[in-house]
Amino acid sequence: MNDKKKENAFQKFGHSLKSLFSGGFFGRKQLNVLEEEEIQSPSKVIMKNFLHNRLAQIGIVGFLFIFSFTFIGSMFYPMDPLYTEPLLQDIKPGRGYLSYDEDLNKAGVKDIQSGATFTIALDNDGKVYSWGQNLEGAFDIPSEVTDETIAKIAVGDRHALALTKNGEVIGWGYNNFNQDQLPFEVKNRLFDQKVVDIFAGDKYSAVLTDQKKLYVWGSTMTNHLDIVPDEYQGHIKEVRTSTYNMLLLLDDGRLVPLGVSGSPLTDNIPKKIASGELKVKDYAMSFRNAVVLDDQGKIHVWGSTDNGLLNVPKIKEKVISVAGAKNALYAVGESGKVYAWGSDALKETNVPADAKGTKKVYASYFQMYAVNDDNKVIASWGNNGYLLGTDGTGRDVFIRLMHGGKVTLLVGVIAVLISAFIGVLIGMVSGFKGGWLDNLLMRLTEIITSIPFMPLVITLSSFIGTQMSSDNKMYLIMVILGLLSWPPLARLVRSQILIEREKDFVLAARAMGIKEHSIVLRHILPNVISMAIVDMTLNYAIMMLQEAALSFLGFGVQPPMPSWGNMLNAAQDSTVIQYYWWQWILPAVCVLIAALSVNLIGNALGDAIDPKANEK
Amino acid sequence: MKLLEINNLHTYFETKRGLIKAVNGVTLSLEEGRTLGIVGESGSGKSQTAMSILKLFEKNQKIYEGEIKFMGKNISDSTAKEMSHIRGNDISMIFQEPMTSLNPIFTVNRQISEVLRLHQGMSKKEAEEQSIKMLESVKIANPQRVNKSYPFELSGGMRQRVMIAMALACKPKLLIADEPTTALDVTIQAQILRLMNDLKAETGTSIIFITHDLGVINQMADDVAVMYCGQVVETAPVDKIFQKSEYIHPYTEGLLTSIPRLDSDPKKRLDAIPGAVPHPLNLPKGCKFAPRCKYATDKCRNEEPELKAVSPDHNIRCFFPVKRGDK
Repeated sequence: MNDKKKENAFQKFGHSLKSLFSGGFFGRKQLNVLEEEEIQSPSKVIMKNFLHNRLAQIGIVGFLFIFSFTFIGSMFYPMDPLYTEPLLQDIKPGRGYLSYDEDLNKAGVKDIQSGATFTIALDNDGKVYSWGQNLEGAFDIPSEVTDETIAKIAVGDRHALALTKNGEVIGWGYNNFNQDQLPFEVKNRLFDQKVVDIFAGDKYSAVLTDQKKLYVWGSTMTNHLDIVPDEYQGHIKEVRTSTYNMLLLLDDGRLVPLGVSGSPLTDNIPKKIASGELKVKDYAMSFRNAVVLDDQGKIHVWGSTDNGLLNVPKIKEKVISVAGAKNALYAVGESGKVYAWGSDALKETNVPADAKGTKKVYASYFQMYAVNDDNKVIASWGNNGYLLGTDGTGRDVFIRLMHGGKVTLLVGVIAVLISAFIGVLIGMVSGFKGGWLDNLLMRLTEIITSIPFMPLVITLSSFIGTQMSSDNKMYLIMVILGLLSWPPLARLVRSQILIEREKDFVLAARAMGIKEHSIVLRHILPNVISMAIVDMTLNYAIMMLQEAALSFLGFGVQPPMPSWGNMLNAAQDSTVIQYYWWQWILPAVCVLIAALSVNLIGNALGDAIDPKANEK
Repeated sequence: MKLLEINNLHTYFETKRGLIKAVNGVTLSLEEGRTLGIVGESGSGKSQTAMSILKLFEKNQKIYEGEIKFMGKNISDSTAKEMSHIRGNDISMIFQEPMTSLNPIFTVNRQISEVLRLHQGMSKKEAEEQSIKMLESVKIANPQRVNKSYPFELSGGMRQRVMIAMALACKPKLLIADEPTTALDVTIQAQILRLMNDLKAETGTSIIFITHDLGVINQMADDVAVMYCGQVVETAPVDKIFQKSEYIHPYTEGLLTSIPRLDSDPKKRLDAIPGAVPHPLNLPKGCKFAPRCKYATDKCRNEEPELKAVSPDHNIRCFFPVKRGDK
């Protein structure tokens, strides 16, 4: 007796030691090691076999990676499916658009202007800096510029100009509209004038001369900016540029628009400003809006209602300067506080806390820089780049991958659930009831199997799909996939039930007086369900691939809703295949990882449930 | 008092090739507290008789004629619901294959408890306690552990004990054991048989013991019914079959002489019954055993004998029962 107690105490000690290291994994304390090994439910054994399988581990890691990437990631990165930004199409992967060159602060900032993905800055010594991502060579400052002392810079979305101390204009970058070089006509007019300022917008360039004349060239077919009315020529004091318009401040104090007329920007200019009654101290333009700072320190905004650009925040202090990015506007107060409003799609209005003490904001397109009284850059914000680049409409591929994956994974899950529900139900009824019902149901599964899947879905999708929103179409795809893919599962369940039904324990259960339905549901079904789960897992991978295939062909999830399949759709364009690898390799890799992991998990589950099959 | 009376029972299978008369006019009776051994070759209808008592039928099978009286009540025409009250509660059954008779994915506890909770309305906890008690009563060494085990963790003998525990859980009046020891090795077989005898003595449960092994019958049974081709050919108390009776059915004789004996001449060939059991779709006219019987006459081949008493508790279905010591 005493010995036994001792032994027990020993065992307990050993167990507490063990549980200390295993984190309580060994659970029940009163059992010794051997017994613990013995008492393991079949499901536990299956789990153990499954988790010890190397391929299963790879599969689980892969799936967890994809799952957290899509479901958790998409929570942190919301997506506006309708967002497009033509200027940011097909941008290469890369970040750090906002990492400005610290050397710039040594001599003090004279000017900072950004293109779509890059920024070019000029310091007070006339030195030019650039950072961000190269776009059409606009990032590479030519040696003529680095050798010279530069007076002014002007940056368009993908080209740049520099004006040397000697009045020479040098351009570089994207040159399809010859916006980089002074054209012959402009050069001719400049023979007795000196260039005092240069400007650049979306693929166009402009110079202002000492005779207060403005000459515009480049891509002016759609915006007609090259037509500067004679009445303005010779009176132009200041110029601000935007995609379709310029705003000119004339020497009589009038503010006049140039370019495409008939927009809120050109038509809604407050009368006092248009007439020159109100003295304009500073002004700035966004894509379709303008802001004017008067000599009282008050601001006036007009233009389109897009992006909430007319909802100016309350500013209780005097404003000392204004600035305009493509989709946002900025005002700097006396206290050095930056007020921002407009679109936040690229974090344009997300002004960082260290922007205190700002004197001026340099804003153009999507990158913003705040400069203090000492002409030093103190903060930068806006678009810092794209980890995985952008697609053909300027949407972030990274974010679309996350949200698209969510759609693809979800479509697969719902489709599998639908197919599993039908399959298990029909298989069960068929297996248990037998007779004419079995016959009927099995013939039905044969009919369903004989329907060619792709043609049916394509037909259905193009018939019903045209009257449906892209959301509903997504549900349609789930239902169609689910409704057509249950026959193999139904057959599997039926055959398994036919096997289990004949086993002795069923007869024994009947002999014990256990009721028929409880035998079916509680004794036979649990024996069948593990097989069904394996089949469902493998089916899930197939569903994902089916969805991807359908969307790739354009019959599945419809853009702008992303799915990996319709993101791959881009690969139907040979230009994309050749130049924009990130737009199609990445979704393809995602589909590959997801389908492969799910397949590995399914196979490993199958092996764990039926270890004998593995030994063959 | 008679616990069970079977009168002229016929259960047939309907197959595409014809009607299979699995049980073809069986008449049996069992006294309370006794063990009835049913013996016969494979296909003689022993198991089907047992199944018929519990109405555990295949889809194509039913009772065509006859009645089964259990405790004076005719249960042969009771409904499925009534039957499920009787099964496991009043009449239990254990099977030949202990390896597959337990559901592989549930613990022993869950399987025994299910029966208890179903028939006795016990709570989960009560059922668990009772289940451990039952395991103890079938002499399982570590009932707590076995109670939590899964079938695959147990040996064949253990499983058969668990099956017996389950069958006896509701203290049934009648236990039908369908070749319970056939799949076990001889030592385990002896243990199980002793256990069943002990339990019978303790609880007073009547047993129908189905086997093809006359040695087991000798050890277990009080009464013996010999079956051939779905019919009972002989019924008698066990000692009469083995020694004391004056007359014996030729088939029973054949069965007895085909057992090797310690005192038989080792050089002599063992007597075997020639031929095989006739195909159930193609039963012979007259006495079913006639084609294999060395005493058969023309009468045997043309007319079917009735079960006739040769002494008050001894019935034989034969025109010319063999007189012992004739050989």
